[in-house]
Amino acid sequence: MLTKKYLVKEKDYVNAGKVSSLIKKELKTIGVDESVIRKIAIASYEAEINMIIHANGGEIIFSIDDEGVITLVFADTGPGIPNIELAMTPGWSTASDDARQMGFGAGMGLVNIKRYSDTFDLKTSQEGTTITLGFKVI
Amino acid sequence: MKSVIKYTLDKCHKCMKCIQACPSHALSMKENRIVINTTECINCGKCIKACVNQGLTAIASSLDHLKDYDYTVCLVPSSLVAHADVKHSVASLFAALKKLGFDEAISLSYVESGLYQKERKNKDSLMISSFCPLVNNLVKKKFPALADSLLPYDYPSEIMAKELRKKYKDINLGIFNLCECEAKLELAKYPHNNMEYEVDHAISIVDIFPKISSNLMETNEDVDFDINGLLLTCPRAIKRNDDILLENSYDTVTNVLDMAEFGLLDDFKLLRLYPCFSGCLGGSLVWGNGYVAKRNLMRLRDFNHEIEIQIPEEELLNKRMVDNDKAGEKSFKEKLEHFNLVNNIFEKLPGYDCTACGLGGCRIMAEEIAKGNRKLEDCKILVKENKQ
Ligand code: SF4
Ligand code: SF4
Ligand code: SF4
Repeated sequence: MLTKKYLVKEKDYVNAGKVSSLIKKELKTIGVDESVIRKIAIASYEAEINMIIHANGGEIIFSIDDEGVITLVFADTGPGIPNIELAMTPGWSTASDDARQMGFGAGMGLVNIKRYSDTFDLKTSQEGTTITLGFKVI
Repeated sequence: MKSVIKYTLDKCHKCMKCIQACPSHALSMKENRIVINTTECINCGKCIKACVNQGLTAIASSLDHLKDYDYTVCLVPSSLVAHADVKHSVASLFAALKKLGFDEAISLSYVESGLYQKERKNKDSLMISSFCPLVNNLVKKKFPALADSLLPYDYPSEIMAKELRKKYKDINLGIFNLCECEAKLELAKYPHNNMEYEVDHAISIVDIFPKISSNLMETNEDVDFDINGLLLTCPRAIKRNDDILLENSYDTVTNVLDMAEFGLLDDFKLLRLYPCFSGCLGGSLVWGNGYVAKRNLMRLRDFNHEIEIQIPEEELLNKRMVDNDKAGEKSFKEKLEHFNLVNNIFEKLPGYDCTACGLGGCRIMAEEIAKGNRKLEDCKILVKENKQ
């Protein structure tokens, strides 16, 4: 079992994607199959950017168990997602204007994240949102 | 992949600059000499530039082998043509090449131009151009998730060599490719014994350029080339669609590949990536500099025409076996155990990545300790700290 915890700061656009890069690098070092790495990279990047844009940052916990299940938890303390159904509609986005100017926030976030992960769980309230993604390696 | 790099010093200054420069951690110092891990090396040439004592060099073949064949052809890359800025100078360049002993000198621009037209027609998903061996090596080693996005086309030198083999099928034919970079030296039978290639010998341009230039003189011979193919060696000179992304330095190329892996570049159709400054014009085995060469190319633009390529699609494809050997690979559980073992050792190391131990950094040291090749006490910093 391997667990690592990373912090993501609010509106820290300059470092956007850094945690996902680190996770991607770890996966390559371990020797995880490239098709799995690709899925995790895309889902993780989207989720990390979401934390920076929509929420007030938070933490990302990355773990792998001996059975080859990779779990990524994205826990933020943001305002929560008021209408999940709407947020899960392709093309929908609430990205703020400064985020859009940086080229983030195409609005495919949650849909893409779900599409690329093997298991997807989302809990949201006014205290924050936690997304848990599971990927099977073998 | 095979390394073309060789270490030549008897006495090393031990500055570790090459070890620090190597992006693949392929270099280490053992018994005061640099050792090259030939399967990890991607032939980027960074170590050669980093060494101030000319301790590392790329091994190329030599023109002495011209005598081994009954008929010899020289493949001329566009970056060499860019030494001229008018057509009759290009003609004298080709004549000078023949004076070196070749029976024929032929421009690769026809093939390059054909590939260019094919690449531009790609309208499916994001693809990566495959003409640069260094980019191919990088993708295979460091961005394997993108390997399926490499275009299936072979190197221009190989496509041309295959055509020549057909044309001169009953002749003892020798094909010599003039190379702009370390990575291209690998794409020939000799000197690195890569028998799966059609090109016989990889020659370094810098090695023979002085001879070429002393042979230069007026000639009545004509020369032909395809301007699109020529321009293709220089990213800033190419006409380009919005859906083609161009970059031309090692760091920007790795940055682009990183983004592509995150799925951030899916709006583009083609990534044309040149790890060298000004594209192949800035290759490290090219004589002269990329600025002048680029200006020359722009001048040549007015002189020539476009030629529709005649080579069938089938023959443009790269059919060499890919070494995608997953047999004998460890199970995931074993891989994870190894990773955790390395991680535990890594956490005991200072983390300075100073390379004083002769390895590429603490992570590599941890790997080597896990394999039993080194001990914790081999870390110079730890030993010093423990003494205090
Ligand atoms: S050519 Fe590049 S990859 Fe190979 S040893 Fe030198 S620096 Fe490392
Ligand atoms: S871009 Fe550089 S490394 Fe790539 S083929 Fe051209 S000269 Fe060689
Ligand atoms: S800190 Fe120690 S292990 Fe790390 S690079 Fe320096 S000498 Fe090597």
